[in-house]
Amino acid sequence: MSLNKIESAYQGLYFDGKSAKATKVIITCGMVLKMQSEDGRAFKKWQWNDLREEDAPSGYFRISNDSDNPLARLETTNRQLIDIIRHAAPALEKKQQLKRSGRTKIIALSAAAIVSLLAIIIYGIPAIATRIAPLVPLSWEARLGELIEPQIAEVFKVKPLNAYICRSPNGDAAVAKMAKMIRGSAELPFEPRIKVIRHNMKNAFALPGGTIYLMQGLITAAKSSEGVAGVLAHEMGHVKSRDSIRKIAESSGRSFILSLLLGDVTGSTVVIFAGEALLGAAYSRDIEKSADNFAIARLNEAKVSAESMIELFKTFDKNSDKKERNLFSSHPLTRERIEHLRDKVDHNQNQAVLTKQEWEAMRNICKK
Amino acid sequence: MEKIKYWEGAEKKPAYWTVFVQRGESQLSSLSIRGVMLMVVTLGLYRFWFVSDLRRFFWSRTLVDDSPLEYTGRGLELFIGFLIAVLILLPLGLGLFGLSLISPTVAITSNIAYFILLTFLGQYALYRARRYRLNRTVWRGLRLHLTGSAWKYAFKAMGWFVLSIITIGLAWPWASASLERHRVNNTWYGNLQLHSTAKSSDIIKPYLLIWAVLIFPILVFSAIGLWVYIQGASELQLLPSSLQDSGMNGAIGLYFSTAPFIGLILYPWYKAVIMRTYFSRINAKTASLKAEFSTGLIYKVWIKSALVMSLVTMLLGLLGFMLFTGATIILPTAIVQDPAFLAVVGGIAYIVWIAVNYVVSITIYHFGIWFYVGNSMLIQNPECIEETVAGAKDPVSGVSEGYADALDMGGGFEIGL
Repeated sequence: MSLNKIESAYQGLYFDGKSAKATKVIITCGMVLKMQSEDGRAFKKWQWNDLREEDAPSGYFRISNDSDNPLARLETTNRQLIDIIRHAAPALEKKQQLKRSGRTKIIALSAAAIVSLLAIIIYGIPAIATRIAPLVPLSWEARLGELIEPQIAEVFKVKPLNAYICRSPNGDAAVAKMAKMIRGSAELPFEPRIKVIRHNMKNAFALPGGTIYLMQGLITAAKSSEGVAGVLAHEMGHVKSRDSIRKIAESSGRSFILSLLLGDVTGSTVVIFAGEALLGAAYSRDIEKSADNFAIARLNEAKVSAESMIELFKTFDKNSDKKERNLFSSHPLTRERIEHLRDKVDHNQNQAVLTKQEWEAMRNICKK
Repeated sequence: MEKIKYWEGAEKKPAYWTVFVQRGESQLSSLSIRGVMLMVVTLGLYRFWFVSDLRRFFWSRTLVDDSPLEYTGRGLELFIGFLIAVLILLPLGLGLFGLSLISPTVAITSNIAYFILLTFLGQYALYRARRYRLNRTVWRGLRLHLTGSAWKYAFKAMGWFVLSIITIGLAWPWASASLERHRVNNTWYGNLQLHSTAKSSDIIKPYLLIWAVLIFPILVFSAIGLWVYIQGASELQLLPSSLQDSGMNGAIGLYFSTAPFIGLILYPWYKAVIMRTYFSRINAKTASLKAEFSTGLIYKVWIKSALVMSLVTMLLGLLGFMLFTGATIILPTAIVQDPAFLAVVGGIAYIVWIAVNYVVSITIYHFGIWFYVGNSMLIQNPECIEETVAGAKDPVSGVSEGYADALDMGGGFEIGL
C-alpha cells in the first residue's frame, strides 16, 4: 500500500493530555499524519517518525507522539487507518519494546544479581560476621546465652535444666582440672563454665557467653579423659572466636538477604529455609575446622596426644554415617576433617589429663 | 467490539457512561504462565516486570465510556523503588535486631513493638503504593492521583485497629468505612476530586453475621470458661463440672469443625457487599458511580477458582506420584531414601504447585472479579467529568510502591486499584 494513493479521511478521537475533553478529529495521511477538527480547521500535524503505539484492547489502536504532550493520545478503531499507521510510522513499536523491557535483559540482570547475592551470602556475610563478632559487647553475648539456655533445654527435652545438670564433688573437681589444664595459657573472652548434662547424645557444644555443655553420652563413649579433653578444647575454640555470635549474625544476615530477594513471592519461606540450611552447612565447616585447629594447639601445649580426640570423632562419624549425615548436616565429621587433624597431630605427646580415679569420678558424675 | 461505537453516529449520548471490560482469558493465561515461569527462573526478581505487564493488560482492557484506561508504570521503576525502600528500611531492621540482643525482656517487648511498627509501616506503605498505582493510571490523557499524607492515614488506621481490638471486632465496620472515605476523598482525576459517602451501615449486615459465627462463640466459650474457673476455685463441689466440661468440649469441637467453613462460605458475600456499596458510594461533583453486580457472580468466580485449583492440585498430585514412583524404580534405594532427595523433590513439587496457583488466581480469580465488577459499572450524570483538566501534580516515584514490597505487604501483587 503506497501512501500517496490514499486520499481517504478517517475518524479518531484526540486527547490533548491537558483536559478530559475528547476532540473528534478527521485524519488524513500524507507526509505527516494530519488531524482536522470536525469543522475542517487544521488541528494537529504529527510526524510519522514521532508516533508511538500505546497499550490498547483488541480492535483498538492508540498512539502518542514523542514531540507532543507525553499524555496526548490519538485513539481509533478504523482498521484501514490502523494499517496505514502501522506501515507509515517507522518507530511505532519503540515504546512497546521499551515497556517489554527485553526479557532476556531482565533474565541476564537477574542472573547477575543472583550470582552477586550468592557471592555476598557465601563470602561477604561470613567475612562481615567475623568482623562484627568481636565488636559485639561481651555483656550482650552473655545475655544472649541466658536467653538461649531455656530454649536449649526445650529442644533437648531436659526440663527443668537444673535437674539434668550432673554434679558430684569429685566429678566437678575432675572437670575443673581438665578445663584448667586444657585451657593453659589461652585467652578466652569468657570464663568457660562447663556443665555436664544427663543426655545420651554423643555431643558437646558451646553457648554464647562461655557456657559449654558436655553431654553424658559423650563422656560414656570416650575411652579416655584425653578424648573428652580434646572435645572440650574444640568447644573452647568456639568460645574463643565467639562463633555463636558469628553464626547468629551470619544466619540472620543470610536469611535477611534471601527474604529481600524473594520479597512478596508466596512460598518464599520454603526456599529461604532450604537456602539457609544449605549455605549454613558450608559455612559451619570452616568454623569447625578453625575450632579443630585451636583444639590441636591446646592439646600440644598441654602435651596431650590428640589421638584419643580423633578416635572419639571417628565414633561420631560411624553413627552419623547412618542417618544424620545428609545435605543439611551442620556438623559434618568428614574424613577430610579427620585427615586434616591427623596432619597436625604431634605424636610425641603422651601426658595424661586425669588420673584413673579422677576419670572414674567424671564418668560417674551423673550417678546418684 | 460492538461496544466501541463512539465515533460512528450515536450523537445523542445517554445520561450515563458504561464501563466495559473486554474478555481475553487466553491472552492473560499465556501472559501469566510466562510471567510465573520467569519469576521462578529469576528467583522472584521478575515480579516487578510481571505485575507491570499484568496491570497493563487489566487496565487497557477496561473501557470507560469507550475510552480504554492506560497503565503507564514500568517494571524497572518498581525495581529501583524497591531497592531504595530496602536501603531505607535496612537500618530499622538492624536496629531492632540489635535491641533484641540486649536483654530477654527487651527481646520480647521489641518483638511486640516490631509487630506493631510493621503494621503501622504496612498501612503507610499500602497508601503510598496506592498513590503510585493511581498516578500511573491514565484515562483520556489525564492522570489519577492520591493526595494526603500517608503517615496521617497510617495513624488513623492504627487508631481504628486499636479500637477494633478493644471492642472485640465490633468497631470494624466503622473503621472500614472511615478508611474507605479517607482513601477515596483523597483521590483525584485531574482536578476533579472524588468523594465517598461510605457508611458503616453499608457492610454491617454481612459483617455482623460473620462476626456472630466466628468471634461470638469464642466470647461465649471464654465467658463460660471464666465462670467455671471462678466457681470451681471458690466452691469446688457445687458444680457437676464433668458434665459442664463435656458439653463445653462438644460445643468447642463443633465450633472449630464448622466455623471456618461457614466463614469461608459467607466471605464472598461480605466481599461482594463491600465492593458493591463502596463503589456505588463514590461520586464527583454531579457524577456518581454505580456498581450493581449480583453477589452470585462473585460466588461464581470463587467457586470456579476453588474448583480449578483443586482439580489442578489433584492432577499435579497424581503426576507427582507417578513421577516419584517411577523414580523409586529407576534410582538406587540409597538415593531415594536420602532425606536430601526427598527435600529437593518436595521443594520442586511445592514450587510447581505455587506457580500453578498463581496462574489460576490471576486468570480466574482476579480477572473474574475485575471482569464482572467492571462490566456492571455505570457513571451517572457524567457531563462534569468532560470539563476536567489536568491536576498540577508531578509523577510519583516507584519508591512509593517499593515500601509495600520490601515490607511484604502484598501490595506488590495488587493488580487492581
